[in-house]
Amino acid sequence: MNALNPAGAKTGKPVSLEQLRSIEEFLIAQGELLDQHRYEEWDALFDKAAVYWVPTTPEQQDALNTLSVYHDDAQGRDVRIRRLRHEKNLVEETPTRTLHMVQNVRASETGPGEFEVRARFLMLEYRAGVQRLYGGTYLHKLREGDTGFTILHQRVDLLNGDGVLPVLSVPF
Amino acid sequence: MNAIANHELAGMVHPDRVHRRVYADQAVFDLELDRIFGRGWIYVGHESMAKKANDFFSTWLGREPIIVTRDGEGRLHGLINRCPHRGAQVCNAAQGHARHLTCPYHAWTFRMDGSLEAMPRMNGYPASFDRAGHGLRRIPRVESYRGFIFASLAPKGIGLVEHLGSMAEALDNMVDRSPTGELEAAGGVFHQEYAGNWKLHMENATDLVHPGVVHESSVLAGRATAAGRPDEAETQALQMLQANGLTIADFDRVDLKGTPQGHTYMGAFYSKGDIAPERTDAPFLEYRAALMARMGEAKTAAVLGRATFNNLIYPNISVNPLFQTMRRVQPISADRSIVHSSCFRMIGAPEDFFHKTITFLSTANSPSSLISTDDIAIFERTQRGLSSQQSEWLNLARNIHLDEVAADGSVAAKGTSEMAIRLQFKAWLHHMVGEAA
Repeated sequence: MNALNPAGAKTGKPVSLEQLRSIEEFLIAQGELLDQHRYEEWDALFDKAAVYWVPTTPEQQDALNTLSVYHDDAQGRDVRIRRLRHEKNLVEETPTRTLHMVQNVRASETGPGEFEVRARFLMLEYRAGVQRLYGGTYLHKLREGDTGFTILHQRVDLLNGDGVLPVLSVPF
Repeated sequence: MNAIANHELAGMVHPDRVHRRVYADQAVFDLELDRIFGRGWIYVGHESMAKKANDFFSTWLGREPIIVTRDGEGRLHGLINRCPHRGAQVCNAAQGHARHLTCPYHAWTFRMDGSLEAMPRMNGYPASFDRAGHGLRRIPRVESYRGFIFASLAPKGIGLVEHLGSMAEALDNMVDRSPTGELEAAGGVFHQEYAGNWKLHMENATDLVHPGVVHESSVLAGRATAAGRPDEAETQALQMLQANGLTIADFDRVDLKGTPQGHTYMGAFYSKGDIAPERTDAPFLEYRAALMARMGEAKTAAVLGRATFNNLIYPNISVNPLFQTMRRVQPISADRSIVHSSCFRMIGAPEDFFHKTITFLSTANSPSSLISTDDIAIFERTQRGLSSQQSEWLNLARNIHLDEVAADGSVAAKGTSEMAIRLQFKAWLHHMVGEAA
């Protein structure tokens, strides 16, 4: 196993340090868009057919037969963002503050210009007077084009997706 | 001696108003755990969670950690999950299969009916040691109604069927909707906490004035996303978000029915698209044909015709027979609750039905739901408001003059009535200060 080829990535070839660095930058920027409430720009990172998915357990195979914490297709992201922005959203009367941090980024190239990326994240959240910490792993499937990366799929495995959870408002 | 005298408790509930203490006073909450959750019939799980001999699952009953087991002969038992020796919880697994349960502390071993089988160094105990008295404590009454297991910590009291009364229809309907007459618990569970009293969730579940106010952000966001899209391009989630946007006049036309035991249900108000109670798409027609084959046309029409939404079984579950989901509120303290939301698969129904069930619950009750997170924001805000000691009463009078009470004690009301909440408090009084108390 090459150090740059992540454990668990079944296919793909190692990426260069330069490529890895640009992928890492992309993940950091994605989190920053959420931290800065730039939700439409966050959505624009996704391909139209992409799903933002937070299953309840890491073993979960699909969102059709098992509950998901988030399973947002393009319509789902659009309506979520409109509601995040809506003045009558009772959860966001005082906008949630978050800090997304990305670590342990590993990538492999799975096809021409396509990458599978695994990373670990922490999200520190301050909402309704309470600070909370969430963490887990990201799996991104990315395609590199002329204007940068597009997310083909994002899976977020929360450490406690099947545990007792409070209200969730800003995505991970 | 009770912390709060019965006449004081009785004074907290009037026909049209209740005192803040029923939500905010921990001493009242403690009595609720004794008298409502510590005596009455409480749902603990579904038979499919312990299907075969020696299967078990662990859960809770009021403040008790419990294990529900099926013994070698297939009989169900409810056991307190606490070793009679030194007090450790015997079982940590959520679900499993075992011939016996062994405490991890000193290896006391119990049969699946809870009786003590053996412990190491049995010769260290005198001949007079009462083995029969050192099993896992048994819950006096455990009964299943069509696969739904309820338990009561009281050795005596009304039977389960009497407690369910006409609301047994809600459970019947969910079972009868299955082409095989069988359901199984499947698809995982959401565990959602909120900083508010358990009753706030139950009251909200049949309150049809709130959707137009509390859910305004998701209704309008849903409409904005739907604008310009053809109806058939809207996902089920998008259809559900918009359905909360009925007018008060529309919601008034929804049936609200209550029973003397404090149970209530409301009629279905989703009327079109993928979420309509009856449809003409291929999976639905296939499903309808399977129902007809099993129970004939008249019964099929009756079963599908009972199109209801939230069916509340007092004190703490809300069943949706149309989408095969259940919410179960766990009271933690006066100001903290956990809602456990789960799904049932209709065995033999086309796959599409369970997919709709999963999408329904994920949309309505995920911790990130655009709908229920607004409800929770309100529960938490209500709980904070009720910490005020200067303003003591909450009003429950909406449509009180229009309640139609039948001879058997059942009540019919318009959809936007606060009848369901009034009925829940009538049941509350019965349990807290009635003959049973």
